[in-house]
Amino acid sequence: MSGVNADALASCFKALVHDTDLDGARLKIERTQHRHWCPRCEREFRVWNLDSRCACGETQTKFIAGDELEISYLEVDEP
Amino acid sequence: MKRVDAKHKLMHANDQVAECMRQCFVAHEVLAINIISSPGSGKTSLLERTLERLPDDWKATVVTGDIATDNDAARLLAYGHPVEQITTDGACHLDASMVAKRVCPDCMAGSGACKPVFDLLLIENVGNLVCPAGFDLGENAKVVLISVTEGDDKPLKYPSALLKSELLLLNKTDLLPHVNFDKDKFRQHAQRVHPGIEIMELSCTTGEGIDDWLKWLDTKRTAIRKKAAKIPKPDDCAGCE
Repeated sequence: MSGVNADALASCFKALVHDTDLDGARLKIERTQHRHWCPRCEREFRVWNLDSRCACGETQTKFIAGDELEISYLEVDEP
Repeated sequence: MKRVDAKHKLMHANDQVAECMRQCFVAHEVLAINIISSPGSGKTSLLERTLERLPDDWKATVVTGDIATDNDAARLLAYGHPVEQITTDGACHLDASMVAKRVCPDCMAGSGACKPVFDLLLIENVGNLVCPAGFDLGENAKVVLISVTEGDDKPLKYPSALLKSELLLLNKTDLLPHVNFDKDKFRQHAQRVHPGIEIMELSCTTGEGIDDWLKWLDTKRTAIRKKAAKIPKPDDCAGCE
């Protein structure tokens, strides 16, 4: 839901680091789940195929996760 | 190997500028609307009908984004309100800095607090339903515009645009007799992706639905004014960057 295509991001990363000090660095992409909140059963659930209805039948659920776009952490060689 | 936690949002730079503008807008009772759609859905026509019928007590400014040409600005200037054309030269979306440089130039230059001279900012984003959904422009609400010629399953194809928008406008309803478009299916698809999204039907050609759209803007403005009444107006601000 962030609007980013993971394959395109990976290709661009490879092209950007090529022939630089970061050449060889790996990009690990963690895809987050599209999740909604159901006010009726008061629980989170994963949305599959954009179907935001809760298993209990509630249709007015709220988007809570799935559009994250962040650098989580780096793994670097210790000097 | 050492792990260094970052937790750095890639949109941080954009979001910082957007939030600065948002605070300015709220404090000065400006209603900022970011209109997104595919190319050709009728954004410029919607703005023409809006500016044409806007009550006299509104002071509107329009920012319109296109990859090339200033054709849209030329059309909109005829309605007597200030129009800023942003030609992106290739970027498929507007970002917060582009908009801030035009509507909050003092903030961006660091030369003092923003004092907008308008109370309605209408942003016509670049025609694209993908990237504009992901960029916060400091708006009070994103509005997504889809026309009946785009297929009733359009909401399913652009879920992010639907999810990030508060209002879905269905345009070109005058063409319904001539296209294969199921309005009920369209509404179901929209609610499936964004439960509770408000949907309005209109035609910028016949004018149908435009009054309801203006009423929606007026309701949003009333809410902004109630919120602003509780916030002290800033004498100064640190600037948007």
